[in-house]
Amino acid sequence: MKKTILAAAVLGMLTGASFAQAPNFDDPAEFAKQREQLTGAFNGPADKPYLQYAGEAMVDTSGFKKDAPWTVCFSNAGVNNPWRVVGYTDMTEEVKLHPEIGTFTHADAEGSDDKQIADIDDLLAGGNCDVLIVSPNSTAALTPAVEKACASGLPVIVFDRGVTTNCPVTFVHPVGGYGFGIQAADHVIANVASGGKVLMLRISPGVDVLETRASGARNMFKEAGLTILGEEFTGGDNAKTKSIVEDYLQRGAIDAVWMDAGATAVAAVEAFEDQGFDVPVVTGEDQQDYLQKWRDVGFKGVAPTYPTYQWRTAIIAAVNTLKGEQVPGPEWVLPQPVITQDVLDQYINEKMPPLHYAMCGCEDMPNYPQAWGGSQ
Amino acid sequence: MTQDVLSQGAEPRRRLPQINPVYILVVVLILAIVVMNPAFGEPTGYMNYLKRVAALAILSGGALYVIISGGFDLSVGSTMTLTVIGSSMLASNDPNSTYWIIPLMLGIGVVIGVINGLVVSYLKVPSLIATLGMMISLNGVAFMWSGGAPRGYLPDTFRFFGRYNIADLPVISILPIAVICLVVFGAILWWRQPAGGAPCRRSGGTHSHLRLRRLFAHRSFGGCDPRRPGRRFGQYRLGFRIAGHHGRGDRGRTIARWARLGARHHRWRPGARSHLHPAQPPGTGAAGPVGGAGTHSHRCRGFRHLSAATRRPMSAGARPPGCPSQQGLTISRGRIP
Repeated sequence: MKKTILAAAVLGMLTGASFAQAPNFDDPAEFAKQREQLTGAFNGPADKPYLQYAGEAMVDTSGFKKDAPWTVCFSNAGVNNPWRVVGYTDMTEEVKLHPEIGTFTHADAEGSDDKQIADIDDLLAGGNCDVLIVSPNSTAALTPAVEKACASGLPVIVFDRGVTTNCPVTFVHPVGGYGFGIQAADHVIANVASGGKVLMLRISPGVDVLETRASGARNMFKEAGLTILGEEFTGGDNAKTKSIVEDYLQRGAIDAVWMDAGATAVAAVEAFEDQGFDVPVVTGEDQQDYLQKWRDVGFKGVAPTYPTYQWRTAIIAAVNTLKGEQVPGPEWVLPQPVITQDVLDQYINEKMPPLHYAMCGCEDMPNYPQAWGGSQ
Repeated sequence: MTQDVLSQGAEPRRRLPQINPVYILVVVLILAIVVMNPAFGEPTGYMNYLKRVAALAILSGGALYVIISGGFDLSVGSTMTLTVIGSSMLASNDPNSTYWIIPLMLGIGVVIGVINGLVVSYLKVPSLIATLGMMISLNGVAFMWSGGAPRGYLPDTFRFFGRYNIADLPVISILPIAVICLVVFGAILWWRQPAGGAPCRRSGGTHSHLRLRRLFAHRSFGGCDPRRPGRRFGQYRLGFRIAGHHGRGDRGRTIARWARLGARHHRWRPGARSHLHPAQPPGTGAAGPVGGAGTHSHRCRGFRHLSAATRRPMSAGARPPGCPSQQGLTISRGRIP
């Protein structure tokens, strides 16, 4: 009897756990919405994409109004990939533009859910924060921590990756993961005949904006009659990326490599080069090394972007909140441009480091380009 | 008379175990791969395979010297991490920097090896503990240096050794520079090996890892004389020199994937976990951790076995197997007399 009760309890807990935090990463309605937003109109100044927003919904923040100087706290998932390094530079430079920010406290979770949960606890316990900005490491794990921060009465701004709660003041993000997947998959489908073989390379599982990139693209490939050779996780590791592509090449031809993030795209391209194959369609991102490789080799590339200028927007949202001004919300949707062959040259800048992301929206900032490692 | 008969009868029985099972395993695994993926049997496929394992092979050469003296080196992976990150940051995509960064990184390898050697040999700290401390320290240094973020960029001049192939050759069709490096290293280590390829044997007794008997005698890397701690120190130093050198080549994302070396800077810790996988098992397999023997030919079989074992399922379209189990297999192979 005891065993039965125990078994039932365990079963109950397992079932409960599986339903409690089960983000839906394959949502046709959201997919359709993002496809529309990719080509839709945005409010705000066209030359400042980091201030633009989709839709008309605004959030009243008058309850959070506070006198300066403020302490702005930021719980960061990590600066462990080049995209995040560029974004974090955007952010720190944006902080310098706001004299009302007295203290900017940064907690780097180094890519660990556990550390980020502890970081948020520490920031809350410290009692010094006037606003909390969170860039979550993963979706499900960080949701309770963000809810806890909201419950403490602090205004919370979430950006980049999302959480499954609407408690923050606003969630700043570009159009989204489906949009990114759509932009890359559209290009693959347009350049590969039906029946062609696509290898999907991904960074890591469990992050909403990466999961949705993959699920959107996967559905599109199936509809277009393309064969998905496999979905492999590279961990953002160039060496691993290259060996995965080499292994697949040994087993047969690849007509396209679809990537959920461009940091390792050059490694995938080199795998073809080093094996003596023509480089097929390889999607990437707005990282300079990929853009230059694409131009130099002349393969059929495309660079969907997940613009790093959203790191600026997060600070702007926090500042506006503490001023009691309205901010776009509950979601602040930023434009998400795609770099195609026609506009490729506009985004290549040889004076910026190879790991710089072109869509930084930072060209108008006082310390550009030195702060990003570029030369005049 | 009787003695003659006995000895004649005993000989065939002895002959069988003299074939190291690692050889059989390597042949079986390679055949299995070729059956599943015929491309592997072609020269280009095999050359690419050698290119990818070259770094691992070189690294395991350094590990062998440490293991042979009864020690273990956990800090190899973090040495790779540090040198790869350091190279990437110092190079910052400047092609001319390669010429001074490579010697500098070799120097870092030597310094790390010397410190490990001194701590183990003279302070009598067990090698596992000493190198564990070094591993953690080096990771900390790398983290502080880079801020935990990917920075810098490795120029093509740097990556030359790991990446480029000499093309259009007869028979083998391509010859990766990495394979040339591997052959050169192999030749150097072979030449440095004790006369006649005699292994460095440890005497029996579980506590006697300093009581090494003959071997490596009078070679510059140090022998196994238990009464001379400097001998072990020499072996650590060599191990780290090789690790450092390897890290350099690797950092070029060099050899394609060279044991994760080529990770450039996207992962901030390229080389992480290489202290166990992949360098040690081949070395361990060669040296035989419990009173075993080690030569470089054993080691070569060890790494080929390991690489083949971990690669086969990928080539065949399957997910990689549990590497730890393969490593365990390699180690246990090495222990079979």
